[in-house]
This record gives sequence, C-alpha cells and structure tokens, in this order.
Amino acid sequence: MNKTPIIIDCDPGHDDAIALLIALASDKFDLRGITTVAGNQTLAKTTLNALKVLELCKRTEVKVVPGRSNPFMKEVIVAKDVHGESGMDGPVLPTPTTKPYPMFAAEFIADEVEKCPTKMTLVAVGPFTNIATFLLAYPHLHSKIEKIHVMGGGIYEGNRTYLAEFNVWNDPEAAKVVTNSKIPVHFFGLDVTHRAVILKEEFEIFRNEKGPVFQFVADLLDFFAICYIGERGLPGCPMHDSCAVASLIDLSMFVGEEAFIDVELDGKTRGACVVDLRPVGRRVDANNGFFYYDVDRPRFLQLIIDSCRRLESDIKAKEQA
Amino acid sequence: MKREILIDCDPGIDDTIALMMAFKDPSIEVIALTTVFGNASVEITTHNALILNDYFKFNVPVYKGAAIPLFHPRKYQSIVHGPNGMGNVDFPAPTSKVSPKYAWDAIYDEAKKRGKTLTVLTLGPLTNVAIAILRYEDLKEYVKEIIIMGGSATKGNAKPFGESNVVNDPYAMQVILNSQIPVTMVGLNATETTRMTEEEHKQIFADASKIDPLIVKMLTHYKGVQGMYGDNGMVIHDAATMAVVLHPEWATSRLLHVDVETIQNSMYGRTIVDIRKHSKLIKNCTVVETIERAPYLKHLEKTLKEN
Repeated sequence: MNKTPIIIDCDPGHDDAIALLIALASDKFDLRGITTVAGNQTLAKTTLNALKVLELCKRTEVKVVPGRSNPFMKEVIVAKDVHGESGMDGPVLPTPTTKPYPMFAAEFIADEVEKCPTKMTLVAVGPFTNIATFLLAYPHLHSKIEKIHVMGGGIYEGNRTYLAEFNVWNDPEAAKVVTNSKIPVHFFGLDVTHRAVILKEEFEIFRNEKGPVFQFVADLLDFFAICYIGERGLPGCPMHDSCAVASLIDLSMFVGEEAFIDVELDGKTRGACVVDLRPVGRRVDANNGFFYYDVDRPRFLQLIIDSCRRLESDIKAKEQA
Repeated sequence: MKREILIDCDPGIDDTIALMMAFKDPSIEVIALTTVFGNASVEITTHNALILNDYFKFNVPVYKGAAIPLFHPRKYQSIVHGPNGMGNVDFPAPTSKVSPKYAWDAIYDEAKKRGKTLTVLTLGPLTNVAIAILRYEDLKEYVKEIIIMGGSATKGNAKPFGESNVVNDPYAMQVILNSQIPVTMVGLNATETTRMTEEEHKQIFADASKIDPLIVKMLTHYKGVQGMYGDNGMVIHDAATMAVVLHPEWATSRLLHVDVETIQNSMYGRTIVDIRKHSKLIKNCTVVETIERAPYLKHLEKTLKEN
C-alpha cells in the first residue's frame, strides 16, 4: 500500500495531541514531520508538548520542527482559558529527552516537499502561519502539494468572536494566503468539530483502559471538559483537530461540500470565513476547497479508541524488544 | 569602507535613472538587484533589470521576487511606464541570467553574511522585503536599515492619499513598519520637492547630445505621462530617493509614527503619518520631508551626461 506523505503543523493543545495520536497510530501515513506554531500557547510550549506526545508513544524518531513564534501582522493571543498555562494542562508527562529539530518549519516543509517523489499532503491544525510562510516563500512548490486539511473557521459560528474561529482569528492573513493558493483546502470548522465530541459519559471508556495512552487521553478530556462542558455547555469535548487527521484516514465519515472559501481580514468579521454554499448564483469555477459540517460520530469515536489501542500495543512491543 | 546596498526594484523608467546614479557613485557598493512586480509584471521587471545590468555593465546578480502582493489580489495597474515597463524604449536583449535564488532569500543571505552593514533600498512594492521579514524572524538582527521610495506624508498618486508602491501591497509596508528594522520613508511628499520646472528641464535637455538617446526617449515618455496627469515639469521619484541614500545631508526628516491603512476603503494603502506633537505611538519611521533641489538637480544632470 502506498502511504500518504504528510506533515502536520500544530500547536498542542489537547485536541492537537489526540490528532497526533491518530496520525501516529495509522499505517496509512508516511509522517514526514511535525511542525509547531504559536497558537494555543507560545511556540516554546507547543513545541515542548509535541515532543512530550512523541516520547509517550515512543516515537521520538519523528522530527518536531518549530516555526514562527507570532502571526504575520500581530502578536499571538494564546488560549490559556482553554488549554491552561502549559498549553496541555491536565496530564503529567515527563520532560522530553529529545530536542526540537534545528530548522525553521517553513524551510523544513519545503525540504520535505522537494525530496518527496509524490505530492505532499499538509495538515494544519493551529494558526496557519507556518503553512502560509511556506506558501509565500516557496511559490514553485505549490504544485507539489496534493491538498491541505485544516482545522479552522466555521460557516455559521465562531468561538473567539461571533463568527471567527481561534486558528483563523489569530492569523487571518495567513489563512488568506492558504485560501488564495489554489491548492485544494479541506476545512474542518466549528460546524463539524462541535459535533465531533466525546461525550462526558464516554470518558470512562478511556479511563477504564489501563495503558499510558488511554490514561493520557482521559486526563486530557478531564481538563478539556472544564472549559467545554463546564463553561461553554457542550455535551462533550470537541475533538477539533482530530477531524483534520481522521478525514485523511476515512473521509466518508464526514459530510461537506465543495465551495468557494475566502477569509475576511477587516471589520467586525475579521477572521471569519466566507463559505459560498448558495445553490444558485455562486461561481462554481471559483471553488477552491471543501467545507465540512457533519460527522458520523460513533465511527469517529471508534477511530480514536482504535488508535489508542494500536499505540498501546506498539509501545508494549517496543518495551519487550 | 563603502556603504553596501541591495536595491529592490521594478524597472521602471525612474528605477533606471536611480540605478545609473547608484552605480556611478564611488561611495557605495551595490551588492545585488532584486525584482518585484509593480511598474510591470515581475517577468518584465526582471527582464528589464537584466537589460540594465548588461547595458550599463553593472555586473551584479539579479534575483527575482514576488509576482503578486501578500494577501489581496493586485488592484492597481500603472500605465506610467508603458507595456514594456521602460516607456516603450527598446534596449538590446540581455545576455545575463537571473540568479537561482528568490529575492527574499538573497536579502537575508546578503544581510546575514555582513553583520548589520547592509542597506536595503526599495523602489517598488514592498512585497519582497516583507516576505524576507516573515520568512526570517531574525532578519532584524542583520539588516542595518530599509530605505523606501513609497508612501506619502501628503497627497498620493494612485489614489488621493495612496502612493502606487504602497497601494500595490499595503500589508507589505505594514510588515516592514512592524519589523523593528530602522525604516526611512522617502514618499511623494519628499520626492515632489525635487520636481524640476519646465525651465530647468529645458536647461538639462538643451544639450541632449551628451545623454544616451535611449534615456532621452524614456524620459520624454515619462514627462509626457506626468503632463497627462496635469503636472508641470518632471520629478524622477526613484532618482530623488537614490539621492537621499547617497547624500543624506540633502534631506530633512522627522522620526514619526507611521501606519498603513489596510482596510479596503477609500484610504486603502495610505501611509498615515502621525504628526501630532502629543502622539504617544511608537516612532517607527524616519519620514523624509524635503530634499535640496539645487544640488540634487546638478547631480542628476551629471548622472545623465557623464558616461
């Protein structure tokens, strides 16, 4: 089977961490590296958290490459209210023994894309600053990107403002570079990610399994629930970033539509996505991506559970070897 | 030691005169030319930079840069420089080739290997320098200063308050102003102080036999377009800016806070110069206000007539 070459750009982040677990567990991917960006927390913290996840999974051979420490036009505004002081509060993981790979994310992406015999797939689940830096600085490599799966935006709802979702809101200009690029972009926005929840009563599925990965996820969920269930009144914890990865394993569990997608940079709707879904009057030739709005939740949950189980058995195999 | 300068340009009629001025000056060393869309497409401006590199024997590397602005599609297309960007003047085809590196990588590499001695002069839209800043977060450690022909503290040209280089990519100008690299803005308000009168123009061109006929033809086109826009005489914006680089003592300036309107309203691309005495906003830009006319015009004439 031909594995899909991917690079994941992220800002772990609770849901980022679970997205990474899915990617690490799947044999569908040739994971070329993880690049980190400022978003849920500062660059130093999101980078450290990515290293911690890899160490937990005994997958320290995967490179973690830090990128930009701030969005293009403004300083980053972190989501301490959602992810805590460390960016991944809750689970207690040891200090990683490995170091970030000494390269700049955009350059690393360019290098890997250039080396890759087939087209590369990019996943972006933090602010799109690194991906946009890559797109601006290496225009000749656009043609070697298969597609970009992103967590970001929303059609009818935001979280940081009424219409703007955190990742796009932190760096709308970078998001604009992505939608301008003509590379197919698959958006997993709040419309779908708020349906892709793990319900409160499902937390025990993870807690009852004794392995370190299940316990890690259970700890993440407990902390994430403080904000999402406690303060925001959702029925569970939304697995935002996992959608962008899970869809690369099985797109059929998501429902969405091809559309013209743009990003507003100005005024009250700064950071909001314009998603043209009008049945009549829209320019079909302007379509530049897909926007998703629903998910088959039981299958999605099962994928997360299966991913954890797979990682647990991989870890055990490594411990015995 | 000679001052080291990298020139980012979009030749361009006035770019051509500015480059002639730069390469004739013994006090500076031009390290490289980088090109950007602006007066014409980046393909054309790069071709023109190679033409000038050969024709005037500059012998410097030419690096190609951005074809489009950072975020918004291009909105403004100047007709000043004609379809070939050189006032419809045909120069001999170039034999030199573009160097295999992007403009932004060249800017970073050339700055870094020198250690804060490099002046970056921009004569076109600011996209290349902005990409260098976004791509290399440590660029500010290595670039000495950025001198910009662009913007205006008073009226504009592309728009009532918008100057064409900034209007072409307002976000790029904002990125530069945010960068913490020392910035000098030579805007239309400054270059207009060097506008030669009809009388002065006549004097300089009375004995045009000493000027390269291709340059005479170019500047005739340039003056004609300015006349079409209702201006008397002629101002060569990029050359006036080059004069500020070469002879800072001819300029008066103030350190002020400058911002750019990036919302797509009637002020889009306006460089907002905060002249309020009580302003608490951070002073991020040296705004040139006047350039001494007499020595500048003499210098310009010398540039045109001495080969």
